[in-house]
Amino acid sequence: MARAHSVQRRIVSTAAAWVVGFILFFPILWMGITSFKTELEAFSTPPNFLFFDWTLENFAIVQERSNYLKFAGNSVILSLGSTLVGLIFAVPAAWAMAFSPGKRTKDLLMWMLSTKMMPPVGALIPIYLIFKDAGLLDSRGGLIIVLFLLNLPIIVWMLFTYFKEIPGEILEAARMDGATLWREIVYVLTPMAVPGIASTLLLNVILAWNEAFWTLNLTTTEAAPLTAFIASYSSPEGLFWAKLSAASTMAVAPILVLGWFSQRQLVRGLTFGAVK
Amino acid sequence: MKGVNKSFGDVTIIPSVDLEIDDGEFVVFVGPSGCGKSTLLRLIAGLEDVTGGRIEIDGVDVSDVPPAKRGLSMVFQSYALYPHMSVRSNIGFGLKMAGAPSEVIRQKVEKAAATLNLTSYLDRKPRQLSGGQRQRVAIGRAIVREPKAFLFDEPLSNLDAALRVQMRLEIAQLHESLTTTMIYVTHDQVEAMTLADKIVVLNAGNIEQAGSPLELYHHPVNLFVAGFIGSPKMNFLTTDVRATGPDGVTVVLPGGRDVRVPVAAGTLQPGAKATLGVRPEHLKTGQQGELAGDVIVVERLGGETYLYIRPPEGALFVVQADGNNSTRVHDRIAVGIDPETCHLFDAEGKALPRLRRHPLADTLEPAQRPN
Repeated sequence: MARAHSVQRRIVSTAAAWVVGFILFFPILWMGITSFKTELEAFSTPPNFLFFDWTLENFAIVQERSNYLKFAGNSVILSLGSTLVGLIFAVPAAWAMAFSPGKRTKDLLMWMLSTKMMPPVGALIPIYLIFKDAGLLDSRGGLIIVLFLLNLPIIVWMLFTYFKEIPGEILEAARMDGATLWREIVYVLTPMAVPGIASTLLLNVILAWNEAFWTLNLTTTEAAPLTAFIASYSSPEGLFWAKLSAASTMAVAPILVLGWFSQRQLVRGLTFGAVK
Repeated sequence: MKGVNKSFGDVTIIPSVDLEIDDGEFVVFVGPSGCGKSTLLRLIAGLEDVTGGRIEIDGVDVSDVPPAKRGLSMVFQSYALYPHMSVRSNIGFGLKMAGAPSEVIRQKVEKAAATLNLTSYLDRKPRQLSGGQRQRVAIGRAIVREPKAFLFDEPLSNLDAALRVQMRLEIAQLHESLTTTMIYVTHDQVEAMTLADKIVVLNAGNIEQAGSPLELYHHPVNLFVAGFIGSPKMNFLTTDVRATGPDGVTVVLPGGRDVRVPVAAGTLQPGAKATLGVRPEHLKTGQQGELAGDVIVVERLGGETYLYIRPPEGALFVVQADGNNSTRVHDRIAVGIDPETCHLFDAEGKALPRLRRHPLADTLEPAQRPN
């Protein structure tokens, strides 16, 4: 009796999970489908789901009108750049917090995370002015600095939870074997923490890629990433839903693909500290 | 170690320790959980800094020298192998850190592996090895660096009983062949007794006694050491002093009988309370004896039998009898005491010195001393 129950329950919960998943994914799906419609079709009510004339004209127009590759290139540079710089600062910080904690380490971590609680718009004007004076507006370097600082608390926190999982005795063994601090990190800590570092890297690439607020406000033409690319299509000239959808799809596609291939890492990364 | 003390914030783990360890000695730090033995080992290793006092190796003050430069090797309780490296790389890691050429590393690793029967496992990863094999890899990693001393932090605690006995033999043989100083921490007094040249008994950060195993067995200086060494524990009986004299101190046992223990009375006066200590293996069951009681538990191990006896007055005590002993629960038996094997402790728990030293207490077996 118990077995029959659980098979039934499993079918029901799997079906429910699929439904929920579909509902959550639906906006992206719709956007993808709309990008293959003509503008007229995109407007029609009731909306047509699958049976319309599929066309690639939107993608062609979008690529002609604005240089997708340039924006995409900027997105890549900004995401990867800010993540790598973040790692360089975060690894030593997380190491110190995990392996030689002081009395105030927990407070420090909380303080770092608390900076994420402030609405970013509060810091917009000061940073804009500083960037203007430093000539960093619309520059990739400037944006990398902002993005890396924005995500640093998250990188440190994730690395901290991973490093805490590593038994301190293994690092002590390395010390007894004659490793200096640097070699301890390079030869022992990093290889052991690779899954954790990979998850952190991926999550941060995604966060940086999707960051719209700062990228829109601090760039104009040179350093603008794909977020600005999408925004340029919601213009006062009129509603170009099909083209907007096409542009959005082109902007979102790379990160969707990346996320798809690394989903196991991501799930592990996000849930790691939660279950001991 | 001179005047070494260690505190973590407000908590003092080690008030003050003075200890000298000779070259080639096998020293065991033993004591109950929380007594500071692992902390002491880590201070020697350099993994913790002393709060006060000095540590010298070969006459050189190393209190500020990092662990990598002290020339010591450590074997951890949890083995602490590098999980992402093969056995070969694990063993060779220390040499690699020291910058040895790879040919030299290869030779030394293979030699250490051969000594420890690990040659067929050299290319495996730690997760593919059993507990005993992992422990051997940890020992191999320590040996290959040819350190001035080996530090063992409860290395056998994670192994099952049979493996523990086997590894204990291997460690003893290792000491025989390498003759390097070994400092070993354990809470298991059997390991201490069987492996050590010198045992250091620690309690709450203080050294209660340091000496050879048999010295601690026959001449414990206080109740703590007497109760710690020897399994099952020594029996302690509360007694009253009846008389003192040049041949010893006569005490009255619970139950009224007398026994004259051959110890120097010192300042002990008749009428004072004293604790009589006698080991289960030194009590004899028989028709008559100074103690009597009801048997409440019988433990038969085959080779020996332990009888737990409740006397009409006083605490429970244990007698070790022959494996063929046929006593049963609820039997009333008499137990005889041989005064030569008794210990007497004053009201503060200090042992009164024995009039005659045990012959084995002060000599070491010749094999244990390096030439």
